[in-house]
Amino acid sequence: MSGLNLINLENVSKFYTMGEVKVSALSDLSLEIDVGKFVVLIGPSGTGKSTLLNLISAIDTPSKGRILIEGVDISFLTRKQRAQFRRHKIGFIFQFFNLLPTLTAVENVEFGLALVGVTNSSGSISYDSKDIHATALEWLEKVGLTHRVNHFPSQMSGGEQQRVAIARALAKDPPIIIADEPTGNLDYRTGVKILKLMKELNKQTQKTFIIATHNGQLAKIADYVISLQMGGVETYDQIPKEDLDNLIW
Amino acid sequence: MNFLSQYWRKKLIGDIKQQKLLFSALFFLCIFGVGSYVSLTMGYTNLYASLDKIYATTNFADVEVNTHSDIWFNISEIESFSENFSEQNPEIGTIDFRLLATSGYNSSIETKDGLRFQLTAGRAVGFNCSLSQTEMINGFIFANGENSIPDLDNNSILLEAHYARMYDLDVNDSLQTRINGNEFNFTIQGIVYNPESLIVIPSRHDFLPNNRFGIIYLPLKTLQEYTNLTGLANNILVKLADDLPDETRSSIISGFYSELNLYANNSFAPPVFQEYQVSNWALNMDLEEIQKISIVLPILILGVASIAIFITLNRQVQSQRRIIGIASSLGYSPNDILLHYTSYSLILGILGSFVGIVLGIIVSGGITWVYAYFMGFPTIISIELQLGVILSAFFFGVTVTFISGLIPAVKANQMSPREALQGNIKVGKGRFSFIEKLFRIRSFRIRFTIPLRNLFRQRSRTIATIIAISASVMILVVSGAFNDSVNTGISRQFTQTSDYHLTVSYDGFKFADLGLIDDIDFIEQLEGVESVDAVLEIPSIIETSSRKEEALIIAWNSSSPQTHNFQWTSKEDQLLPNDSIILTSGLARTLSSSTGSILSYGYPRIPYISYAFWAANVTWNLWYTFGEDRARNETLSYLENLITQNKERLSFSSNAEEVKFSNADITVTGVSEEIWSTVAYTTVQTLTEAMGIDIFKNSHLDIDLSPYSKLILKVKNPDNLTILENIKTEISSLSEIRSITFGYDFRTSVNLTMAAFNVIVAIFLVFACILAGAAIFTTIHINFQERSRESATMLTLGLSDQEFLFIITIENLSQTIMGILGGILPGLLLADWILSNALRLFYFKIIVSPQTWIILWFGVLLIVLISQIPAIIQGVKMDLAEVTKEISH
Repeated sequence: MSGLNLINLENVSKFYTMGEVKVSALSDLSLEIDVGKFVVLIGPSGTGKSTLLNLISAIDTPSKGRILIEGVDISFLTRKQRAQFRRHKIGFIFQFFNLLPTLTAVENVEFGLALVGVTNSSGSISYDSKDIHATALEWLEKVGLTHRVNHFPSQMSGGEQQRVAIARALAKDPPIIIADEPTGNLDYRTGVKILKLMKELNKQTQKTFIIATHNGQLAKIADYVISLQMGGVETYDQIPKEDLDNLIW
Repeated sequence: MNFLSQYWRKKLIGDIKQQKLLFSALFFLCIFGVGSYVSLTMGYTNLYASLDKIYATTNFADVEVNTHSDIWFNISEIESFSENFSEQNPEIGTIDFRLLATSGYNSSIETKDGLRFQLTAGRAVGFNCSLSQTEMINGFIFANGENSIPDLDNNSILLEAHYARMYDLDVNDSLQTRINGNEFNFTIQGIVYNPESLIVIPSRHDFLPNNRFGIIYLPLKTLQEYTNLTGLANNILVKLADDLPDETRSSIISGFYSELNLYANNSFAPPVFQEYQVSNWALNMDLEEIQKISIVLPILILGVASIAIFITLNRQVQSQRRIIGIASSLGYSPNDILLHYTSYSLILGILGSFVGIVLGIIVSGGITWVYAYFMGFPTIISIELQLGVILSAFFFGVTVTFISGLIPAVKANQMSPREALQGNIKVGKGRFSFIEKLFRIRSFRIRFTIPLRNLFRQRSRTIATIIAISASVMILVVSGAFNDSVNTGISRQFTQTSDYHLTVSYDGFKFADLGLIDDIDFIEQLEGVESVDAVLEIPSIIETSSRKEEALIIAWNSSSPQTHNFQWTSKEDQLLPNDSIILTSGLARTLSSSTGSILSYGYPRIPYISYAFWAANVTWNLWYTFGEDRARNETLSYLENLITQNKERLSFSSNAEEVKFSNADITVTGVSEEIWSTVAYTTVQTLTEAMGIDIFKNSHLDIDLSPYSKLILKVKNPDNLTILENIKTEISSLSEIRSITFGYDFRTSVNLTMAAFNVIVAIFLVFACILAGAAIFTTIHINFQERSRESATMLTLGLSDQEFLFIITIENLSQTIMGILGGILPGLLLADWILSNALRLFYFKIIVSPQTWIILWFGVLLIVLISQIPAIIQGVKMDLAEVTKEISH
């Protein structure tokens, strides 16, 4: 990759201990991801896609190596610092949407915003509920859900819920959006719509999207694809999209 | 057929292992519920059995009959009457006669202020010591384990064990005793327990258990000699044949009593059956309290346990819908599923009941022993395993847990495989809360909106939790209100109402012009004495058209006593005008009376009426003999001599005049808020007029023979113990003084009585705290498990641990606050009911102090905060990556 590196992984390994057995989830991985890219992470089950996302989003910490986000090493942050990091730097889109069931669509978006505040017209950070509400409405409009603002998740379809989740992830203006199987729980048509939306938003906002998926076709719309392969030692490839047609999953 | 297939067995163990903490909490509740039932039930049953054993050993009288006070019978006359009656009624087993006399003792006690000498009240019992222990009714248990009564001469006595323990007295010590105005130095030959004084309560009107009340036992002849009552007695003990049905027992005794009274011109007070003998009665009241608690407490605990089991299993069934669906699809029958889920509650019930029973048995021994030790029982304690209690506890525990697990199990059993395989757990959909709808709140504050909506999300669970907290708060309010009401009541009684520092009791009755006025003059000039009131205390029966209560009437020599401040409950209340009565609030409540009501009161036991009739005759005779000039002095001297030296002339004989009773109507002019619920106040003049003995006051001789039984003193500086001791020493030199009691000693006695209740209150407090904790712990734990993905999502999105903790705490605190509010009113109502009904002899107005409210609120909230810690730790430690990927919860 070239340009400004948003994410740098330097010889990152992750081991889990299951009973007396030490299992390697990721081994000696190094990569760089630039700002504003739409990165797709592909590979069969068990190759460490989710582990990689967890490490980048500071949900988990590496056993070895360093992870630099915007030049800051997040490998050894405390639990509290990692929460702060996620709050400001990461937007999450989950496979099962993970909306808070007691909150309406707009409130789910506001939930994320309330943690970081919104930048108001004077350029300062505001935690005023009116400002937060206005921003949340704007984002719901961007994802095409103005008619579902005051609906609870249980009153919405899966696609609608995932749109809310996307709005929640992007509204707080984080540099990185992490999505783990965002279409895994949606039908094909809805999944395509959601991917399109994500791609559009990537273009509009210039946020870096990192999406883990089993769906090889998704790699077609990626700026970059990272392929994790099974084997004695995990390797990674950064595959230009023109080569993707050769990939069979 | 296997009870459960291998798969389900493994799954069951897996479920239990997975929810160790929750299972432990439920297990603990079951143990606690069953254990409290077994320990308390076996505790009081063993106590009953111990009492029965003691009563059997001591040959406790089935019934006792006393003459009205200061009337005696000739033993040989009643003996021959009894023999005749027994011949016709073979159900009568044995009859024995005793002489009971009031007495006083000089004893020393070690206090924090050094050795104090006390002149205490008591009773001397003259008994037939020629009988062996086995023949004797109301026999003894010797503290040193002896079995036979030692030889007692004129100077030796047996001493009741409580008094001996209180004053550290033992065999061969001497006891300075006052009987009938004379002093004796007795040697103690034995320390004994007696069935009449397992709790030492002087009478139903002096019901405070009082270790300072000494009872001595001496040969009948000795006591007759010392009281100038040769050949006379005043107490009959009757032992009936064994195993008589209650109806026969009661008809034989009523036949005996009516014939006896016919023979003796109504000289006998109604018979006192064994169950109403004052010590036995008080013990039974205690045991009944334990019995009530042994039912209420386990019900409360198992009630909370059943709610918790229901919530847990319900949640388990919901979360395992997929497993149920797969199992059904694979061909497991609905019964397998039903059996699996009921097994969970059965395991809880069976194991919890088993452990609860074992622990309960161990604790029951402790309860029996501790109660017996503090009450000062002899060491005959019966501890037996009661199969009935064990089986009922097991049945009780298993049934409650089984039933609470049955509903979720049936739900699982009825689930269709299609529905189950969908696997969506109904954990409550989001909805606007009632409060938001009501106040149209739309402004979003995550810290408050999420917990608020969570409350309305699983309403049945929220309500169950609130009910459990309310139950705990109810117990806390009852305990707190009881404690405050009792302490405030006692404190007010002894600081504001009863404004005295010393009471002086006479041996019998002291008549105004026969020494009482001289005594008051003497006492008033003693250094430090501020004022003296003379009072007459008479047991009476007060009646309205529909209600009746036995009460102690305290009559003052003045219409405005200086040592008593009435606590009026109404503006119309006024001090004691003549022909009026003032009721204590408890008595007014019992009689449903208030200021202005008209009552009737009568005196079944008129101790001095015989003096009165007799003295009246003597007085008139003297007046005619000596002439008016000399008559007054001569009459007084003559009367004094007769009263003190010739009591036997007052004794009953079959030829004597019938004892008469007086009844009078009287108006209630005030209700005073005091702690006694069987006390009324009037003036001596009113009382004596009602009794018809004002004749002396208005006679030509101007002799006031108003009788008094007590002097009440107020001193100028009550904190100066030296002055108090000096006053006491001076007063004890007066004649016919039976006892002198310091006000604070009496208060200590009241506090000691209430100490037993305070122990119960403390136990209740502990139970309530545990209940509240268990309820909150279970709910939080389950809520947390159900909402783990939500929690993980919030934490993943960057919510800090503190904010997460805040959200959970707000939800729990809201439930707790609702639980507290829900428990306060029922708690207050229950406390009021207990205070006004359960304590028949006391009346405490319900009071809950601000400190108690603060402790209650903070205490419960603190328990909640502590109870949520395990769930929060679990939440904070959860694997966010793993949990956020869980299928919808």
